[in-house]
Amino acid sequence: MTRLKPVGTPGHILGTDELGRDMLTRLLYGGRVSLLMGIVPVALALLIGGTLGLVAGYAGGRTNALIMRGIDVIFAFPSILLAVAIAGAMGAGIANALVALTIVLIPPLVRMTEAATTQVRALDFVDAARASGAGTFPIIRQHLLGNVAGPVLVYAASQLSVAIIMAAGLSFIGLGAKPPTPEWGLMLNTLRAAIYSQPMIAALPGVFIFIVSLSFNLLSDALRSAMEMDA
Amino acid sequence: MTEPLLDLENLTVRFRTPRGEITAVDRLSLQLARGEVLGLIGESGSGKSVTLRALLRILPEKRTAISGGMRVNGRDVLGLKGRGLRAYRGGTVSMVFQEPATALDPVFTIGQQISQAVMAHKGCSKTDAMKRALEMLELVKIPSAASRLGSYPHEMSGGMRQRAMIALALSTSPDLLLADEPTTALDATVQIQVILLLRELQKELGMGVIFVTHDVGVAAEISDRVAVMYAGRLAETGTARQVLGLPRHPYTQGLLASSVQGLEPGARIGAIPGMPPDLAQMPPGCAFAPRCALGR
Amino acid sequence: MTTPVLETLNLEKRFPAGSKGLFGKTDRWVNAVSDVSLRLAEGETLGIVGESGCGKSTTARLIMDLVTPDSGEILFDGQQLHRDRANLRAYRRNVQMVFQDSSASLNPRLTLEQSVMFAPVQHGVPRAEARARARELLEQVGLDPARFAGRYPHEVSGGQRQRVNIARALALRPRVVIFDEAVSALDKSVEAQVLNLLADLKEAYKLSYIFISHDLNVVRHISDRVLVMYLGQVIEEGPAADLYAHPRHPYTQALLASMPSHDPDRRTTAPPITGDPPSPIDLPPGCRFAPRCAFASDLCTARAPLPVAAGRQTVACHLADPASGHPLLNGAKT
Repeated sequence: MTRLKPVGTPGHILGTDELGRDMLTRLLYGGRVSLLMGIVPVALALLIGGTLGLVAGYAGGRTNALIMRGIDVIFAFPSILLAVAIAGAMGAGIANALVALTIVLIPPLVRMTEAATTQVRALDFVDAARASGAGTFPIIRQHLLGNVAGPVLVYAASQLSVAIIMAAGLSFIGLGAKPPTPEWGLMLNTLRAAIYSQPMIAALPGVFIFIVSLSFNLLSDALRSAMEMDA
Repeated sequence: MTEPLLDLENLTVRFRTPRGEITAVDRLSLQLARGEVLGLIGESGSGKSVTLRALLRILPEKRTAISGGMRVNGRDVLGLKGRGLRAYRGGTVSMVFQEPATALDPVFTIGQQISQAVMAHKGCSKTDAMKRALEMLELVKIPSAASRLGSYPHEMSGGMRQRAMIALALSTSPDLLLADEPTTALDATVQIQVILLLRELQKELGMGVIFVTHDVGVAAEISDRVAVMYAGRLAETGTARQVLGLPRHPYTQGLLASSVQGLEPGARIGAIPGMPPDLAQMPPGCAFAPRCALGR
Repeated sequence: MTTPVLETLNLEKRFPAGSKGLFGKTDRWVNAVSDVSLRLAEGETLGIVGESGCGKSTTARLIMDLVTPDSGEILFDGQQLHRDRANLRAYRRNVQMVFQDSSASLNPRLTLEQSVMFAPVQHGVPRAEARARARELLEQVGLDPARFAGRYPHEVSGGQRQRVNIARALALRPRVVIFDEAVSALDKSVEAQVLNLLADLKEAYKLSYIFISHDLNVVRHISDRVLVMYLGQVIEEGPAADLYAHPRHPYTQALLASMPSHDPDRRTTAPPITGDPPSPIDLPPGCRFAPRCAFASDLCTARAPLPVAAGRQTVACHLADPASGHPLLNGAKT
């Protein structure tokens, strides 16, 4: 226990952890992992889910029904449980956690993209483009993408904070990053023992998770207002 | 001279917008006698709908500055607050909106909506209020009114909904009825039915009506007097016969000339060049001057 | 008789009423368009009037092949339209549509010039040439390209947006343009300008128009011939002057009598017909207008009338057919 040094110790501004490692350093390095585990699954889910949603929304009819009902099946499970189940089945590790998070994030993005596409698809200017004899691909590129991208990106940005919190959750229960990798969720777990002796230190990873996910939510809000301004 | 039902004196409505302050209604002075129908004609942005909303005091207070005098039954409307304001809105003055589909609450039946309004303004029992609701539906000639009391707005056709909206507006026996393009969204054969109904009810109940429309024909069908608005200002007012028969203002003349009614088919229409001014960048002097054939 | 530039034969379209699930089959249908045949002669303007739900907009979308008909044919220059890629592309170069003005009629992310250029570029016109053509068209519809080419739809007024919509429809140099409530959302003074513009463009480009509107005055002004629709069917058709002067079908008569009079001294005294147009889901038997018709007899509810010639008009009413046996025909009427 003597290895635990409090916040404000000279040379260790944010103290040290139970093994005497500098907290500030570990928190900063941990940020790399946490950001990676937030951004990568959202980016992958955006790519896969966005494409599926765009296809479902533009094609409509049977294709739409097929994709959307499939998505409904995945969406029927509570997302955090599903992530735990997938990560648990595949075993611990950052890569597996990334896959699990991606799968969990796909359904809401498909739904969002499908809804936005269906909406834009019904607008007169898309019909006008169809009536001009243009092919499917140019219509999607010129008329749909730009108008669908806005709301979908805003939503994806808001999902970043969800992904970071879920990633931390997976690591906390031992299904994500493995020691000695510095990861905020994992650090939160290993520092649990210190909660009575050094509560400040134990809370630090949590504070970082909170600040980062709040930042992404603010970013998402800012994106939304930026989109509204030019529309 | 008896006191008019409505007396507007230099009514001015300003909105604060991100692009700066705009004057939506500019020094509008109008009077309406009891039992009179005033047709308020104008194009989009002319301030006609804003005038109605200012009259009903339903403009967002934080972003709106209303000045000038507004008296209904001799009472200063701009000074009303709290209970007095609530009694005034929907009691003394009520409104029929353009889109009954959105102006009626989708989760309540027509009977519930009317009886709630009656209870709030007349303080009577629920049974009496329902009775009143039935009377009102019969008054606006909704077929099988008793069974329609239990209908939701979406179960009714467009014309029926507008009748229900009128029944709701009249259920509190207002002195002044404000109608904001109430027939614009309706089909031609239904529009004329609603106009005739309003005309009949107005005579029967003797209320004052301000009927906002962009359609000169509709105004001719219903108005005793007509006021023409342009860019927030009053361009011309007079009896319907004067204004529509012998318009004096070049804008009114242009508006009448741009109608294809009574024109040789295929002939050139005497269109007014240009378009209404941006309210944020009004021309100096007469608002119509830049488009006026007699200008300069 | 010369070949019409555009002709439809017995177009039919039903839509399933309400939403259907993955395996959902519905037995309730919206009968949007039933047996619509029309002919558009070269250089002619054909007006289509009717109330909401009468099928006039669906007819436009069927002609544009934005909606595929359940049955019926479209003929262009006497040639039957086959729905393969090459044929449709050629057809769409020739037949274009102007939609009702709304914030949705133009892509908010494209500049006005880009919107007008889009179709020609898709048809293989080099970009520079398409741009030059777009600017020329903007000029022609009364929008100075130097000021307007780079603007976005939300930066211009409704009337200006509608001018862009018109320019966009003309960009492929079509021979037929369909206007679906194209001036309905505009202010009267702007509507007048656009109607004048349409007359000029028709002459300049030798166009044929199909003009769809609920505004009877506007349709009379612009049309050579007029077609009246009710609940998905054409109930009367004829030269505009004849049809407006002597409407034969009771519905056309009621529709014309419903127009506001414009003269405070000659107001309408009684509604020409009562009630709303019925829903196109549950159609009445026999003549679809019978439930609202003042002259309806047992015959009308039993048997649907077929179109018959009456003067230069064609009318689908038992009263217009001397052989129909309608009880009112045995009186003073001829």
